Amino acid sequence: MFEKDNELLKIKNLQISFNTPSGTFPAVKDVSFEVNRHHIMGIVGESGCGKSVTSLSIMKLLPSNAVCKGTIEFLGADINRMEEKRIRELRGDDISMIFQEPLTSLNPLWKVGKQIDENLKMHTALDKKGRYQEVLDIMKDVGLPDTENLYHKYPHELSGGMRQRIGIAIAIACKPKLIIADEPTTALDVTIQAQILELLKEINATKGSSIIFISHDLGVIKEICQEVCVMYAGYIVEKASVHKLFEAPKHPYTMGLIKSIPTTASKGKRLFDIPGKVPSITDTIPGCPFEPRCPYKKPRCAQEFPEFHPIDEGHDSRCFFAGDF
Amino acid sequence: MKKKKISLYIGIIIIVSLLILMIVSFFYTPYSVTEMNRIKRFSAPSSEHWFGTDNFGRDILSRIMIGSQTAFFVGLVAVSIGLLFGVVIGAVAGYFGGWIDVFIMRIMDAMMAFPGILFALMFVSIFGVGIRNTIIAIGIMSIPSFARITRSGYIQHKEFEYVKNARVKGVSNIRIIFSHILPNVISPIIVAASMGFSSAVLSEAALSFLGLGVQPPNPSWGRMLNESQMYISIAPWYAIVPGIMITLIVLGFNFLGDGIRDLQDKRK
Amino acid sequence: MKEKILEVINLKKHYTLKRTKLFVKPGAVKALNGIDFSIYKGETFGLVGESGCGKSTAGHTIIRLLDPTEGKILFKGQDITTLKGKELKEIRSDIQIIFQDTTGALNPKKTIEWILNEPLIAHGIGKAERTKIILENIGLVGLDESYLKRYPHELSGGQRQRIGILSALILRPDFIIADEPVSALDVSVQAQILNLMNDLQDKLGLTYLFISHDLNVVHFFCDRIAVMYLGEIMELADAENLYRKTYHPYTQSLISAIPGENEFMEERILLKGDAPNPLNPPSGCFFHPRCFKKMPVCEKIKPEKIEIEKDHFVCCHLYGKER
Repeated sequence: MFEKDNELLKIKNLQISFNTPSGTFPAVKDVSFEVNRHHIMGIVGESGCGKSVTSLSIMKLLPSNAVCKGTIEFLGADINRMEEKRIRELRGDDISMIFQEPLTSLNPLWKVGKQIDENLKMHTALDKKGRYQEVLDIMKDVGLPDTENLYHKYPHELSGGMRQRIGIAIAIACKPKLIIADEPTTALDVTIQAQILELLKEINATKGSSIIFISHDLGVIKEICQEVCVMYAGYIVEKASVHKLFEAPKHPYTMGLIKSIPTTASKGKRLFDIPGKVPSITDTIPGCPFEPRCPYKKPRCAQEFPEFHPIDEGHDSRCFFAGDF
Repeated sequence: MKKKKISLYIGIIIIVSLLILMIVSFFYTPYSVTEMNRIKRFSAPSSEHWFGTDNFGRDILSRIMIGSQTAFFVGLVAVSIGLLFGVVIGAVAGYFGGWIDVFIMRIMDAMMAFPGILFALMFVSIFGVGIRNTIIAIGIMSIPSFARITRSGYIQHKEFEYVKNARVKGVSNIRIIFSHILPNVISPIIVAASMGFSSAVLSEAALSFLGLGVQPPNPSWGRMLNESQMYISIAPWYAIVPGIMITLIVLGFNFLGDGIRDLQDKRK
Repeated sequence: MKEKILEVINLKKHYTLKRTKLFVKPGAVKALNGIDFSIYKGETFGLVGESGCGKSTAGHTIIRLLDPTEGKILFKGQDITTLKGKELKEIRSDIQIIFQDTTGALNPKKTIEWILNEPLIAHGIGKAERTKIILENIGLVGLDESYLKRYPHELSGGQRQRIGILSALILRPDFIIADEPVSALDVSVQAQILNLMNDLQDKLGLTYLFISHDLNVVHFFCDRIAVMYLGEIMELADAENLYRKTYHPYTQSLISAIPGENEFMEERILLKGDAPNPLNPPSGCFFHPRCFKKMPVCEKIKPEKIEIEKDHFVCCHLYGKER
């Protein structure tokens, strides 16, 4: 379905654990997925599932006590085994990141224009004048008004929506091939969120950047992503096109998650709730990680560990009985 | 992480050693502190007198030991006065805010602007010298800094939702201030108390050095420093020993305070 | 005629800023700029809006954590607007509040048991009685005795919210204000808590004022909903009508902004520009700078509240007399 030269990022058997004085904790236990050019891939999951850690590992932004195993192939080169110098060249240039909280991810003491300029300084050969013009153009591209004045403002002088646009401007400054967006609209009002999602879709369409979009909000994933991975307790439990995932999910966790969201159909009734809670990072489970909470569980699920396997074309699941759903 | 605990350990070792010295002094000193011996005046440290003797032939070690009681006593009571009033004042100012806060803190600012030793001097010259007034003066001097630390904790916490929760459940303000918020803001106050202890000891030493604190024949490390100045060329140990003791107790409490603060930071 | 449990009349909450210039009167942040609504016994009333709209301020003011600048609050017919001291404490056993921030809402240095005891102590209940009440009620929120000796940080977000709900219920109030109670929770936990709140409403005959920014949740949970913008109510109707027969342009853009497959609106309306600054609200209708149906009159005159259909109110010149 996808040709070899269309592949941008290929993650295989990613495992990330953290070394602490009280022991080693696995945050990501087995993650594999591919992102192609011009593609928008979503990673969805609840807190503690490992989605943020996964995204940080792509840019090698994990803290020093993190141990990262597996391969992260970007355009053929394994980021996991790359030297620091080479990765710094990639960061901001070929791969960039948009964070959730623009107030803390922007430098409060620098003018916002300067922060975009900094990215261009590091990765392009433009001179000062050229960069200034480029920054203004980028700011216009992300829908910011009155760019000449705005260039000289500080982050705290801007609204949340505008700050996030600056964050996006910094991310797209060098026309990256891949943008990692970690919950970029979670902290924004719903009307501003709608604007930002439109902007990201536009960037994907006109500038061709692929996007990895991380969120806990299934609605947002549905809105913007073409393909999605569902994560639970450090594993990807289902991967499919957005259409197929919502139409016919093939993992009990995904099914439970979808049913938990209030819709018009659920008004006046009880919401489906997945009993129990997410396993803690220290729990070691022999069988399927979701088994304790699964309404469809069978004896096999507690004893054997399910591997990630294809059910349908472009639809993979980590459930033994996925084919039955 | 282990490196940071060194402050704490050093502080604990020093203070505990001095405490042991103090406790022992209640039951036993090698010589009586007032026993004078003309023959043995200014004798250097020896096996008979580990720290030598002073200008009256009194055993310096024994006087140092009893002096430790003064040091700890002064520190404890002065800091207690400062804590008691300072925390209450700071809590009320921080929690209620408004003109109460402005009024109280202007008074605290005035107190802080006034040089501490000068205040103690004035107090002692009006109310008389001696250990009781020394402690009261030092205690009063320390109120503003405790008030300030407490107040900032309360200003922060009164906006937290657990406080709003308590108010909305009908809990009385006094109970909120002392039962609900205090346990959450006490950490920096404890660090300040430890530092305050050493500062109280230093102040007492200064006052006694000036002759206004503890009066003869009661031993105080500060006064010993004072008395030994004249004889420093013939009996240097007389000055050195109390100087070292003051340094030790101040360092001890400072290390302890640092160590406690590091512990709290680590926990965060 | 249904019984009214709460009536809010022209409620205003203004924060005056510090005076910076000697002869210039300081400005004010008009967090609440005159809201009116009533809540009937047994219903769930929703207050929805984006950040800065004043919905949390409304909740805090109604429960008298804040003092209103103007207006009236009538609870069960009694005017509680200016109550103080003992009288205020008495109504605390009738109206309670659940907060959003589950980590901050419980005292981090105290055990769950201590936290649950406090409201009872404040109302003069003796030790034996308190223990009995706590043990009897802990099951109400789906927890058991073993949680009593724990500290808040040992509990998950969902469990902490259950304790938050229990501490609000323990005085057996009739009316509960829920200020974004599920916004900080994962989707699956959110479902559990919403189910719990529904069950409790049936079991205990509660009335809810439900404050949230999540349009899906509000539609699901509430009977009637008011949409707020910059301290004012733009539209008020029952849930179905508000979402399907939307009149106010702001409400329309709000509902169309719901991401994913939007069940209520097909067209996505994208608002231009930014959220307004509460320090410097626009003239006339607060929404006019961003309104896609703006008319000249909107800049000058504030629209009045109109009942456009039975029990469906709108504040918009499009439907007013001055068209």
